[in-house]
Amino acid sequence: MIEEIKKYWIYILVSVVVLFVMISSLFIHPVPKSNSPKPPVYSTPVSSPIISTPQNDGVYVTPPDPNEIAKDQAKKVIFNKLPYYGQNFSVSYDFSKAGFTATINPTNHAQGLQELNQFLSSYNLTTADFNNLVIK
Amino acid sequence: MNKLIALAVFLILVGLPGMVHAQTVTSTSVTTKVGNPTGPGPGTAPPGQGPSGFKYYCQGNKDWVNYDNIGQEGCGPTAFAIAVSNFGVIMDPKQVDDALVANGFRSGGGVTNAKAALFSDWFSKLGLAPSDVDLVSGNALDVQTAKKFLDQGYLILAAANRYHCGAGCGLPNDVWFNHVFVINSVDTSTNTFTVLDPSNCYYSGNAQYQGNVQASTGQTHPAAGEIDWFYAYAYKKK
Repeated sequence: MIEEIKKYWIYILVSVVVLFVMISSLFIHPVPKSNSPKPPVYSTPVSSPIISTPQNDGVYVTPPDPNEIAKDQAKKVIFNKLPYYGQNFSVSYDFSKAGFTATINPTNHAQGLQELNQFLSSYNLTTADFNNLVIK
Repeated sequence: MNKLIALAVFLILVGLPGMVHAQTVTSTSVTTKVGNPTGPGPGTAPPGQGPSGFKYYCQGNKDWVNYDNIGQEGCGPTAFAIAVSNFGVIMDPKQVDDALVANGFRSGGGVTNAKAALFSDWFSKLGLAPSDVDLVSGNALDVQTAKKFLDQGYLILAAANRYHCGAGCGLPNDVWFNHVFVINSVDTSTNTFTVLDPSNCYYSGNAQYQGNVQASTGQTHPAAGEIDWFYAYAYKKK
């Protein structure tokens, strides 16, 4: 018997190593029951979720300039009055270009431009305050 | 002794292929579900499906949760990833984060200047145009005006000084935070809106899949009274 063990020791060693690796792999890499991906969770999970999201009352976004916000809110007031027709100008909103369009009466252009500026200034705005104002 | 040898041969022939198979299945599963497992770098992960078929990214996805602190403070880049991807500019939070940092709209790992980014050349060069009409007034979202834009195919990027994630979020109910998110619909009859919320996502509880959940439940918020608003701007593809 001892003779045979000496003769075949390499096979015995390989068997033991293979057995060890197989048993270890069961703990390290459990075989999934199904190869199909798990569906995403669309509702609150029953178990505690692992979440990597803001966990405190932190600051993650820069506060806006109050003056800019006031002007942008004034634009909303104008937006809700559109289309607006002055004596020598009109203002509309072009949804396709995400911007206001002011159309000046070509026969009375200087007067129309002045009226437009007066209209805007009544909201504490100037043409320079607009991100995308087209004056025709 | 012969039995012992036979056992060894059996284990080698049957056991090893079984182990290889187990490894392959695990590897395939991870590769399929994790878009970019190689760590920090330009992202390539496609967006998931949010509510109503909107494209959606989860801030806590393990592909980027530890990239430039996106998981903790990356609502800005994640919201922008949602914002642009829904107009066909597919960028994941890592790619957006790189762009925001490069253009000076996000301090590394920290605060995002979302308004500056929205009205920047960077955003314009993506082929997107914001309206400079602030849809917030009186610390409430003006859902009537917001609807006019949404009906024209716009989405809305919004920021709040204090945001309450709500019951479905998975965070404790008393947690309020400073936030950036995307509004995808409003209901003028109930004066509410729904969001594509970067922080509103869940994991299954199985660590192997935790980084891959990109679907949002969507959430409905009252337009006034719950959120302390900064601003909300509609934007669209040019």
